[in-house]
Amino acid sequence: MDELSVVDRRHFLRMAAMATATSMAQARAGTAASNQGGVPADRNGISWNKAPCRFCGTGCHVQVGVRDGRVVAIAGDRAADVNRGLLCVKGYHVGMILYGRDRLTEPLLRRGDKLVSISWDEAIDTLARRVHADPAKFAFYGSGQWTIPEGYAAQKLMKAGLGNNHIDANARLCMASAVTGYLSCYGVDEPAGCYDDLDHCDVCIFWGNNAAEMHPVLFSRLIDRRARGQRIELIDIATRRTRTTEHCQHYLEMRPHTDTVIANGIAHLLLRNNTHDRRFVENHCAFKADTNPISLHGRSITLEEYRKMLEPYTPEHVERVSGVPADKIRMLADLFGQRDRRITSLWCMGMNQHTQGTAVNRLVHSVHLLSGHFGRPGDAPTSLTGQPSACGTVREVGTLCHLLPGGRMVANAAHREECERLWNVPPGRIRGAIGHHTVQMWEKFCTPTDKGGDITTMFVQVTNPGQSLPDLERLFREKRNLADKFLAVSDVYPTATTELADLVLPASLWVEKNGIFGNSERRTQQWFRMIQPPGQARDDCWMTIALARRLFDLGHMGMRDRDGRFLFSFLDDQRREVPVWDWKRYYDVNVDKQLYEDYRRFTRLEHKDLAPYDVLAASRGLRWPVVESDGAWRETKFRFVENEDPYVGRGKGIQFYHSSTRNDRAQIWFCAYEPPPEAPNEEYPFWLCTGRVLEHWHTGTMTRRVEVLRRAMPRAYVEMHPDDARRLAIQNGEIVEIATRRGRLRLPAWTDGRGRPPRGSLFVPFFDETKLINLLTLNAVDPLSKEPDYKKCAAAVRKINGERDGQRP
Amino acid sequence: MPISGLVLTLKSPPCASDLARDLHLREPRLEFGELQIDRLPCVLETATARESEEIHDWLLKQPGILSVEVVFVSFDPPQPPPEKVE
Repeated sequence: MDELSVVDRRHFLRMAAMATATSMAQARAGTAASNQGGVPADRNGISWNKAPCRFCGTGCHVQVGVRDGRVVAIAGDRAADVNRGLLCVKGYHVGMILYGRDRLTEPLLRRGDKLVSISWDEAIDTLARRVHADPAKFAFYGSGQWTIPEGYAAQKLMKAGLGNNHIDANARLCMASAVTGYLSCYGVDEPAGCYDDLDHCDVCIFWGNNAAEMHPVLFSRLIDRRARGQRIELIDIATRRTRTTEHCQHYLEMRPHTDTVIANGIAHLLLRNNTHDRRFVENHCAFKADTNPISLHGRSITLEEYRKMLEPYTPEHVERVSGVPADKIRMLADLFGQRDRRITSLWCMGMNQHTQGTAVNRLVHSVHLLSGHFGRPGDAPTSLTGQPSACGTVREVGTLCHLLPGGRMVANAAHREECERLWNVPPGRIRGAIGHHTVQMWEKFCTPTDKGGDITTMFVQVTNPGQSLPDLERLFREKRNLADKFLAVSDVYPTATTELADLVLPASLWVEKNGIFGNSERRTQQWFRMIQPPGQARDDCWMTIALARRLFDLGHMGMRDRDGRFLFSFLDDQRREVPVWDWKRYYDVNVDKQLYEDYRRFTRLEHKDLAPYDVLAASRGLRWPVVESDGAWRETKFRFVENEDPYVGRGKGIQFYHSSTRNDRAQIWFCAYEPPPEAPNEEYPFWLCTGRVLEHWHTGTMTRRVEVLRRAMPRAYVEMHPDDARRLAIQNGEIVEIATRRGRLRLPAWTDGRGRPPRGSLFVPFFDETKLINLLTLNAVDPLSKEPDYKKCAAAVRKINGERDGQRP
Repeated sequence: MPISGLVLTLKSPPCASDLARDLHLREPRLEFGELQIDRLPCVLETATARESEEIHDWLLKQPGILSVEVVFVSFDPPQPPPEKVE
């Protein structure tokens, strides 16, 4: 008898834990014989399978242990290049998010003040009839947590079916400025570098990025190099001290909103000292400045014009505006002026959630281009994403109101025609007018229909706008007073969004369904369903297809292609159509695979070629462009670099082949500093910044249901400087009221928390649905990216009555 | 009964076996594997997740231990819902 068949599950888990720990210890110590190994293979009823983590954009792989239809264990996946077996505290507990006691398990319809149970048939029919009655007033709000097939199905339903461009995703709130930055500089979106840069850089600069908490596995890659004796310099440019700061040799504390000035100051010195990379610039770059009004590609300028525009940005001027000492600006410029050192820049929400988000993204790219710190391993400007498929689903599939799949634009007639041909829908089906972006969409939904609120039915999938939108009272809660507006929400748990929903649809989560994500380094990652969803929960992708089918049955002509066939057709091995809109038949074929292969045809225009589904399934993800060479599928680590990127011409060295000036050149930008839309004054004397914490992922709907994580970080708080607290007679842990022009919120004040804001600054995390800080935030957006600024608004702090919270954050 | 796989990074690899013996004597819920240069694999089994966290924190305070990485987590019970919107 097999020895394992007689040991109980507990002993098996102990063995699996020891096997994983031993193989990780070997890998970390450099004594492993191979990169494989770790958890034992499928034995004793526990099967192990790979999946990307459900949380952030890093794209770590986990091994998921399943027994008797339940996930029972999680291990880091040593075979994954991204994380090499490591996970953060959230990642190790990712399996527990499936088992919150209050999972949504049946469709619910609002009748009066109550949500009552209904059948799926009634649920889909109710939504379909709302859409069918007025398709132009329907909007679909999705997510960077949509899988690629989910986003693709939603995109096709809206743009190819309904001829409606009112589809946007929550990634608008987190990385839209990174997109406009890449497009402005390279003519094409997404990073040229990858995580391998972290293994090769000599200097890593964090631009308003608390990577130690937000991307801990990537951060540990840098810290691990230092622990192994490698010399690596870390620089934190930020508005408050964080855990990242603790590991950095240099902390440059800047005043909020002044990062544009710092970047311009570096460029000023590179030119003044003649330490820019003249050869790189002459061969590969051109210069741009903004137009009035601002536009994505601006206007061309000469090097001399550029130099003149930068003249005011002397180190002393930068110090006056930003508060960063002139010597530190010189230090940064000297670093960029050294060609023998490799510099990686990382950023995330600090630069993106910014009314000058596009500008500062352009400027950081420009510093790298001007100094030639581009194109060698370790020399890269790289934005990080917060959601697991913000890149794959939102940026690449194009689930935004102005995009079509594969980087195509709604406003471009040739792109629309090409998509109509690929989707086999009649010419003219796709509208040329851009739809509503996120803030606008919610503003319209929360405005009375007779006063211009032209969105009356909203379908939300995989996101929680009732907590994550800025200025929540105006952009979400106004819905309470509008009887003709209908909100349908698909989610896995009750949330601040389902609180106001008219229809709640219970969704499958993570390994309860097949999926594909695209992470921050262009890596597309696939996984298979491992367990059944609870109760009547169903896949989001199924909901979209079932909605489309019901519209087809109701006679909506947009649900037919040119040949009169249903827009979503799935075939079995014998080429017979499978009615996947019937949930019982949904897994008769691999819907994900067929949607993904359909979508793959769109990815070649911008040289973002994806690997075939079966190749992805056999890998831990591949970075695009993935091209076939000698019968093998080869990924690309570094874009635009000869011998790495297959689309760079022989002898070119570096080639920006999507250059907006059509001459293979990247654009170096000048963007002037502009003041923020709201700044502290006498009435509201503090800067308020919002953000995330290590233990919770975004709005906390999943991580707050994991006991370990909830206990580690039970509730939101406000960080403030001890001097400010003393001046206002506020004790550490005392409840205070934070007020802005938009709302008020009571929170415990912490003066010795893990983050240390400077005097005059406050920080509040947004994970806590019992303390909705977004009732206070500003809805001002970047003029190009339309991304809101969650990082700064003016606030006041008021002592209440000495009441204390009693719990530490 | 949460079971965790941990990797301890040691400050002084030569005394690792003494350190492991000492830690096991003081905390019998820890089981140690074979030392890999300066990395010591171990398994921790406790009655509750809170106990696991406490031992994790306790390990971090021990002289001779530079860091503690969690590399495996098992779990069982359903998770209670958090507080609702006020």
